[in-house]
Amino acid sequence: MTSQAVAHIAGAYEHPQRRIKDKTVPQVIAEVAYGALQDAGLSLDDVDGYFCSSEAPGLGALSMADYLGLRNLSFCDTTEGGGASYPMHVGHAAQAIAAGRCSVALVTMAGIPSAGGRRGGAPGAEHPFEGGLGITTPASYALSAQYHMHHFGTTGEQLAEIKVAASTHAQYNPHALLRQPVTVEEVMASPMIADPLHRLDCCITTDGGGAIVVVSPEVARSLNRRTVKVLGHAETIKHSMSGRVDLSHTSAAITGPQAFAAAGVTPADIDYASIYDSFTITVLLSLEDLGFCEKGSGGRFVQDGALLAPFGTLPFNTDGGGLCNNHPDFRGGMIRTIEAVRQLREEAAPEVQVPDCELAVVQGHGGAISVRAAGATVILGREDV
Amino acid sequence: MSTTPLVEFEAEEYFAGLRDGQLRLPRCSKCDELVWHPRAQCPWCMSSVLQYETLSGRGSVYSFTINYRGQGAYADSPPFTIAFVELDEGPRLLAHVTAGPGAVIGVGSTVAIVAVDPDGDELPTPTFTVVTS
Repeated sequence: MTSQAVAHIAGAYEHPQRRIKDKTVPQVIAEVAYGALQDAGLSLDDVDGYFCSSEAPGLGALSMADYLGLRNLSFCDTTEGGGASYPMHVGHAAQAIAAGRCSVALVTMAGIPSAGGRRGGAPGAEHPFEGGLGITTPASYALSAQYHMHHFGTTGEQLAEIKVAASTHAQYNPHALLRQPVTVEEVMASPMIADPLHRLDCCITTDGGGAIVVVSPEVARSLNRRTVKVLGHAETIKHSMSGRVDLSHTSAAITGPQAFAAAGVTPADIDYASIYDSFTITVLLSLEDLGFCEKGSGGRFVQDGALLAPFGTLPFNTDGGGLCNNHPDFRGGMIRTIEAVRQLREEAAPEVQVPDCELAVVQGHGGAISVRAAGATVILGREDV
Repeated sequence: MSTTPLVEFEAEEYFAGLRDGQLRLPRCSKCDELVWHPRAQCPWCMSSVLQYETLSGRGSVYSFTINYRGQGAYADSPPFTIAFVELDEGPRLLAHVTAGPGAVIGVGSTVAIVAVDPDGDELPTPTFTVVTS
């Protein structure tokens, strides 16, 4: 099969640090931006599209475009979807490129949450009705997990398998924050944060970030660099539906089928999955919603090494994911995208490189899947696929 | 948690209801849907003609979690339960749930609203207690 793609990812760069004490956020954004451009073999003056989200300091993209030295912009996008922003940006960049609005789109994200400081913005309209509850992010995800356990019999041990798989991969990533493989027993023994999620069911918090460069097919052909095809993408916001909240699925149930249809492929064709792993339950639900298994059987699917690279049924998060490698600024979608690019360029760690990796799915989530969340699915393909 | 200017004029009756131990929600006069959370326009049909209705105050637990690690005002709290309560009348809303001696909170537990009247400017948080585990 040789399929046309309207856009290619030509550059990708993940910041090597996980704790940053001596740099500013703009400095780190520049490090990842320039790293991705250099990876692609492109210059600042080649960039005509710029994408970032609310993690960028200043007003939208204005400050960072100035700081970075982007002098030829004809397209900008500061879509806010929490951690899903960057997979959403891949789709937006591909569409802008297809429409001829730009041909080299730089997508950046970085942050230093360890430095503290609150992000601005007025509270949402829901705040008077939810703000006094003391609901934390882990608790909001635990609501989805408890529902799944009750209705489908999913166990804590099954959720733990997801962390075990991520940790098994992370040992081969010299930059990962947590490199020690863990067992199901260790996950179950870790302190309960919000029932049924233990500490080891929850992702890490890191400083750092990453960037990618999305280009037109013409630019891709001109580069001396393997690129990755953007074959399909979809996004949505799934929220509490004015009181009709449905915890049985995530936004991936909507965006997955759309992205697969756009790419003309099915879940059975996927060789590698980069799935947002804010919590183990996020992965389990996404696997079902994307169509890798039936609704309710995610627990059985992740058992017996299904997620392990290189030979599992569906190798996942081979960098260690947000559970073990990196989750910069509480937004994991960029790093998810970058590892999928590595796999398709055969640049993952040798121990976890999926052989003959042709097709990958990136699933991003942002916000709280139980209450209100953005979601985006991107299907990527090897350059010659 | 402060009140003005976050609370819309039309939501005051909802909060007054919580202080009275009642659940009062607006119902759209045009499409007949209950509106959660209360707001000025109907999110189903866009009508701005909404009438408050006092509901039964009863529901069941759609999902729940016991939060062991609180943040902010809850940083030093003992574990507490947050749930989606599905009201008998339909809407599912986030609330606190308590259980008396011998009662256990689980998916499907029936619950009833309890009065919450915090001091000063603080807005009441919807709180239910288990009727049947």
